[in-house]
Amino acid sequence: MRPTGVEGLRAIQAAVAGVMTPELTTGYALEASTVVGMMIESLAAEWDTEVETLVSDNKRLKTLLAEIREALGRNANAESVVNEVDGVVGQGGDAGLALSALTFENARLMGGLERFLQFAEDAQGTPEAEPLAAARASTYRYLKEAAVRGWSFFDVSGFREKIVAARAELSA
Amino acid sequence: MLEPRIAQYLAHRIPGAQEIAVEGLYRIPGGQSRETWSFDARWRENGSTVERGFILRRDPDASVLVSDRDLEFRVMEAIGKAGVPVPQMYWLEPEESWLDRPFCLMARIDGCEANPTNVLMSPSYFGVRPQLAEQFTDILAKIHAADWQALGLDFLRKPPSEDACGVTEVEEWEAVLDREAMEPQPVLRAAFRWLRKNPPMPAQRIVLVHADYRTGNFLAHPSGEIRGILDWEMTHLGDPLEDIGWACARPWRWLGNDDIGGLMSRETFYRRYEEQSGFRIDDDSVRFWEIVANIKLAIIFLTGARSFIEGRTRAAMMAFLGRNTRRLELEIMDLMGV
Repeated sequence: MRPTGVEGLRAIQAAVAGVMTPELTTGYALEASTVVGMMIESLAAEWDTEVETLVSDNKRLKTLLAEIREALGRNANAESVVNEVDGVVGQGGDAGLALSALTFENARLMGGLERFLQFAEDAQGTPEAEPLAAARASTYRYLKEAAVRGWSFFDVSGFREKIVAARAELSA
Repeated sequence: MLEPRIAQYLAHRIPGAQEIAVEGLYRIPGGQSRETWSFDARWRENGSTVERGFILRRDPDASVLVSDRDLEFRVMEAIGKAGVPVPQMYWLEPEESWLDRPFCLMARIDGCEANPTNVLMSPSYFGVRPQLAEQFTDILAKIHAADWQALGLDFLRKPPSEDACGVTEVEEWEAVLDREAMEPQPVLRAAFRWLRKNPPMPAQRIVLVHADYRTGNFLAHPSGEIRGILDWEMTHLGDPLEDIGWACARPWRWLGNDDIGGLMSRETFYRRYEEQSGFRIDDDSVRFWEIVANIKLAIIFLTGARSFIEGRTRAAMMAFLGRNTRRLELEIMDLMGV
């Protein structure tokens, strides 16, 4: 159905910027209006692709956790973290395509990464760390790719040059 | 209507005042941890008319951080005596009956700009940017030189020793993350581990740390003079390089390049600060404190977002901030070198 979600958001954005904002008379109201505009920009940047991104992300996270599981499997002291990672991967069924369910699933899988990084980094400086290095690097690669997604107000202020460079580097 | 209630309060505080009129009340944008309002008051006192501009800082319904209004008031009152430009503080009012929530009143400093976009982009400030950069640096050195014991600021949170400044902040903010996080935070957790493994060099001296010292938190006059340092709610005692790391953090490099605070190069900032303060800048320590700065900001955003999600505030800003932590995570990972 047209207008699509993104087109609808752009209509709201245009009304806020073109009709409502010029009528505002206080700095506080203007700031609130600017925030609404930025919030819409942030939503519009991901609206069309968010389900696809989350489905793909969750699949990738499961693959990454499998890589982690394999790396941990060779470590005699990793029993508890192996059990936790197994638990995270094993819990998930089909999350469906609802954004809320996919988001919840994503957070759950991220919990597995958090636990792995803790184990891998606590082991740094010991012989146990070396077999985990590749999985750790893959984890940070994923986290960096996630960190450059979407639109942020930082992209037009402090991170203006950095975000362009980071995206170019990660897509190379 | 706040105006008549403010007038009643002024009458309570200024016993000799008569015919008190409060006008021009408006809420100032920004300041997510306190509501900030400006107004003009006029009254008759001892046969003459007194006119004064006020700033009212009132506790919000919910905040991006839990901060102590008494602390901010007492520090601003004291630091002004050390020659640091701050607004004159009038009254701190904990009683909620006056204006629904606790608040404080201070003098308004007119003719100045705090908004970083205006300070850095407005033609009236282009020509004075070098002066602002110098003053920004010199005032920070002055804050760090303040004799906090003589000023009666020994009630502030203080690390147990010079080499504990880093870990004290790490513990403080990790506890906030434990309390506020609604989802796993692998990057922030990794950053706390990195900080514990890579502590800064011991503080050269324990000083008064502003803890939010950046472009956006000073009042700049078009003459190039900084007339007020604002937003002291996170202030504590600690390592002077903590303020250097915060001031250098990328979120405050408003022009999107590497200029610190949009004002000057890092080299210029370091050189002048070292000259003015007598402290030595250590690159690894500043990196530590820049990571702390990005973590703090991310946690402040998460705290605000949680307030919105749990219905303690309806402010769109709080919700919006929560959608902006990813860039901070990117910066943290790059600073950690992972």
